Amino acid sequence: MQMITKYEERVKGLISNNPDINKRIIKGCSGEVCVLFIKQLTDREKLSNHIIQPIMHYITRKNNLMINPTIAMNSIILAENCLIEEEEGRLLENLLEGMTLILFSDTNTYIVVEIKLVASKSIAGPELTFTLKGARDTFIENLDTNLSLIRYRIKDPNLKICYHKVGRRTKTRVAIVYIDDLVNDAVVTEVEKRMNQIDIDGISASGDLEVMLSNDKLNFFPQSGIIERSDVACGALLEGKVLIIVEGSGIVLVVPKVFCEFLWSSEDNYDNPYFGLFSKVLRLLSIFFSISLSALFIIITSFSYDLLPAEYIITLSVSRANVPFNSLTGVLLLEGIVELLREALLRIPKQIGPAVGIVGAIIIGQAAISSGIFSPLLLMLVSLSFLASFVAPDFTIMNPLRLMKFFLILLSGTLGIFGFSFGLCFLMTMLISTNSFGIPYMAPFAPYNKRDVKKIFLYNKATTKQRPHFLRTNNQRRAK
Amino acid sequence: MTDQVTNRQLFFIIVITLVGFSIIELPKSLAESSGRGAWITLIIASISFGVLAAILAYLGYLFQGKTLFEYSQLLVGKLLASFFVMIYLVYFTIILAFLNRSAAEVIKTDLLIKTPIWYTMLFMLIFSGYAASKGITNVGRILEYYGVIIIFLAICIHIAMFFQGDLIDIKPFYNSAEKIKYFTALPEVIIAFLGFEVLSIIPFSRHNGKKAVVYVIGAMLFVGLFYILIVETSFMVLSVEDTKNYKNTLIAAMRRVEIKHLQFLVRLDIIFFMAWIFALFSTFTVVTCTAAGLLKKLFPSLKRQWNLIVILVVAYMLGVLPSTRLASQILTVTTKNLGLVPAGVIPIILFVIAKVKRYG
Amino acid sequence: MGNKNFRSLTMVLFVGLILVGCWDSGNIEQQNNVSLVIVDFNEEQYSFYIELANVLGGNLRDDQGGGGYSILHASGPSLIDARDQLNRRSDYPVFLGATRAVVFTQRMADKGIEEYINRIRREYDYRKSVVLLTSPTEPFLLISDETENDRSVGDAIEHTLENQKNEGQTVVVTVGDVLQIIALENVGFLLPQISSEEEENTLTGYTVFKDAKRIGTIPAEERKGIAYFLCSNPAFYYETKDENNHFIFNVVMVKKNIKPLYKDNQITFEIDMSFECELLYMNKITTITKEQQKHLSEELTKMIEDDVISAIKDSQRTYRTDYLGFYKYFRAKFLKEFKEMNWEEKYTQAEIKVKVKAKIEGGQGVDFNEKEE
Repeated sequence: MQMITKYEERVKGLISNNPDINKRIIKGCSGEVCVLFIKQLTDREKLSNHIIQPIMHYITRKNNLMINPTIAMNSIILAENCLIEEEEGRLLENLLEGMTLILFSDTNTYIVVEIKLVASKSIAGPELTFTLKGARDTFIENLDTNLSLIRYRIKDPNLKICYHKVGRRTKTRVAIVYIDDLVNDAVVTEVEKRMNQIDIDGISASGDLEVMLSNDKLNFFPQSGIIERSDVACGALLEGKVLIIVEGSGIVLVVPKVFCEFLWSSEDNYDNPYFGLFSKVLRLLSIFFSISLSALFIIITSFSYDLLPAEYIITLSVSRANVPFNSLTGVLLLEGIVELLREALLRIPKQIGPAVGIVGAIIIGQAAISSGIFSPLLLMLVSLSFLASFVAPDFTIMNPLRLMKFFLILLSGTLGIFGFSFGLCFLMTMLISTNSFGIPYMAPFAPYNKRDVKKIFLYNKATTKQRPHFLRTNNQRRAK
Repeated sequence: MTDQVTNRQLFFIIVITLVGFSIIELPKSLAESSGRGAWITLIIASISFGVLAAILAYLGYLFQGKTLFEYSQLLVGKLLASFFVMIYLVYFTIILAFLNRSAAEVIKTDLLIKTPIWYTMLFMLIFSGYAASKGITNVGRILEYYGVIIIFLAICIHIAMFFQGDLIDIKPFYNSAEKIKYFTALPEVIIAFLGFEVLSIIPFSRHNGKKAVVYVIGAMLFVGLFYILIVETSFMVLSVEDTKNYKNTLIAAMRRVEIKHLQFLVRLDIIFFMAWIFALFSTFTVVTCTAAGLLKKLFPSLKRQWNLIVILVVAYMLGVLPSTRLASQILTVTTKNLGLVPAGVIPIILFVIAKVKRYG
Repeated sequence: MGNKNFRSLTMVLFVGLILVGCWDSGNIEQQNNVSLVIVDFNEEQYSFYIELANVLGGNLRDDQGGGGYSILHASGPSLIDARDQLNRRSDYPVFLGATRAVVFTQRMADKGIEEYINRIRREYDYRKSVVLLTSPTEPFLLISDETENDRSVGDAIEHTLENQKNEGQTVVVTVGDVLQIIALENVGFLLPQISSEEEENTLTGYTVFKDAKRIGTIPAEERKGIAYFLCSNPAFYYETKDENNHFIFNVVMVKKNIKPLYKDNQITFEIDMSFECELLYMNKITTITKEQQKHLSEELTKMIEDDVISAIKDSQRTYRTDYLGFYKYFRAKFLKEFKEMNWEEKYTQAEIKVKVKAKIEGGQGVDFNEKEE
């Protein structure tokens, strides 16, 4: 009784600060059992049926016998995950994690039972990536559900899951998942090292963690990819990559991720390799066009007019005849409008999204040409560049490239083809000198690996028996 | 990260450093000095300089993990080694300054007529400095990546020029009456084959092995063949006699070519200028990186960024101050007279001493 | 900390550079795009007549009448003065990068075109692939030819030349070609000639140049022999007659071999040309016997040979300058001797042996072989 009273005093102090901590005392002849829980995090049905009711039955049947933690855990409590805890300091921590605590009047030890119930959505279809032949189950905010999606696909005993807690206040659970005999050990070590170096109040989603795990906090290019679908995640694990799953986030991070992998889609693997090759080349070209079309337009209309044949020069001049702005101003304005439209469409409610899209894109565009503010060619090029920026399956790579587009526009507007070429050199230097957890970002192009380049374009799981060399995995062979 | 490059990267470092700037005026120098037998002069030059490059590469192979400064200390002592490195440093700084100036002059003539030279020079140095700050390993990767693009674009352009030109304009391929000229023209092409001295700052690892020497020789021979393609196609388009009337011969030749069937790529300017500017960027990056690396050997306490800033500031001031004529003269004198010292004399001395001391 | 300072310094420098630039920035629509240049020399005055595309204020294909092109004229006692006046008359900078053709009037050709060609060499935006022509017609008459679909005259001239070149009937000479020849000295060249005939600009022959000055004109009817030497894949129609019929052949050159020889200070050229003659049609459809075929072949051979020999004779005897390109073949084999001699003199004394072989092929659907009985 004294012990419980001592605990109760401490708990009373807590309850007065946190009214959502609840207690349920069950009295018997020779002692008391106190059940502490936070009702928002506890499955109350299980609490009643699997803890309170069995304890009460036991006390009723064995009236004179003392209930103790060992007996309770072994014979009374109907929960799969419970353990006996002695540390007083962890009392509050366990409660805040959503555990249910069972305290006993005559002992310091207590039982920690996991009967958490957190409201979360069910597994739904993908929203970020379209798939025809792939699976459609996506990750959700519940860590255990996410892990279950991986576990049921990969039944390898070497599949390892390491848990970390990130955030002093949020204590968010983060799982690092990899296949032990495949993965590059240096990457795992690096991930764990960076994870341990994080000292922050808390994180709310995987996006927060992504920024904190990067090489350099001001780094331009993303070093980890995002995965929404479980089949893609398992594919990444089988390639020897490391997944980082954050509780409370439906987006999983994958490391390491090199530049060209942002442009590869899982659909390429499910298709015929030649069509996969076509798609990959198309995406690479689209990326180039999306960052350079506007800049090339400025070069041709403001600097090197004779880059084009004579007929085109005159046609181009005529199309820009009554346009009041010079090409640099026009391009910057139009690109600005397009970025505005993009931001607006991201935030707009679904119901009025299409209407705004029509107003913005078609009506404004049409009005701009009719009023002679922009030339039709410029509008077409900027639209093409806008469309081309959506080809990357992992769109996180496009954000820095969109910024680079403006950089190239400014350089072209200042120095024509000279500025544009140096801008491209600068971009390539940045890409080549970046690395993702020790793996060169532009692999397998720089450093060049002939086999990897060939396999990366003409990829077919049946014929590509080895993993990419640049990942430096422990086991290179996929198949015999 | 240790400063290591693969053999393939070594190949591209040498090819692109050599090709970067000198190709613009090469056809003119050869038209004036050796005429239609220019290809013979180029073969002789590429073999000769190939041997010198092989000596430098062999020294790198013998002393794995060491740069020229380190193995010179073993061979000739610290004082002399520092003196050698000083020569290399001065040489590379002058080359950087005046190549930058010459490139800016070409850009002013052919691309940006009103933009002042000081601006173009500063721009090129800043970008090259940024790339050089990433270290020789990343520079090797940059050149490996760009090398393929530059060579591919260049070959496309020259194939187009080949088909537009007339083969009869470069005949006879050999004229026995002029065979002396083919040798006396060698000093005119020295500048085109200098640049492999960047090997002085690249430590070879065991992964490079003896094959590195083969790659280096291969690179020099490839450069020779590449120059032959460039020079001969320029002659085909411009004719040998008219080539002498242009300073920026390659640009003049390229601007004469029009391929009607290619729609908006009728004129090759955009491909040419992009390839050439990539090559310029690559050359300046390597030279800057080399000069900064050499400075670090002499002053190890200086941080990498500040090494670079010193080199860039000195190169910029050296390049921007003199007049055009004086700048051109300084470049010619440096390459013709001083160039063979870091490229040939010093490596040969070190090689002989290494053999005498029975290293390797 | 050092890293941060370095980055900050680079950023400041870079932003400063970007904001300072734009010296060379212009606007393509604010240029006077030139499509044709006519250079004249009259009464000690050099004149430029340039055809400009009207860009601002209208469509090129203006149905309301008036072309999409206008003409600007300027003159001066020298080319520089003429250009100076041109600059003072144009509202926007003159842009020569879209020039299709440069036409020299006969007066200008007589004066000499070398100075203007060297001007083109030095002008940055003037492409060296611009075609060159001469014309005896007055400049205003030449430019006033209104093409049917309101195209530019320069465009029309260039397309006419291209069309003829593709047919293998005209040699197109660009600025680059003339620059190469001028660099040599002692070698002549030809420029196509265009004149206004019945209000249509027509290719009427070639102008012969020696030392970059006009020395004569070869009419279009005599161009076949020249084309065989200077065009790639030349092809012409030949008509042969016998008592009852006449036959039209399409003659295409399939092989040309020019072998130079040099012995005892005497230059000899052995020319071997082969032609394929396709019978296009006959006046009256009839079976042609083998004998008739042989006769026709011999006739064609003679006709072609006459054309070739006539072209060589004009070059050696009439104009006394090598505009057929024999110097290339001689130089390719005897470079040292070529450099030491005065080519113009030696060329006129050269012996040229011509061997022509014309083989008759059946045409599509025309079977002239004698049937076996």
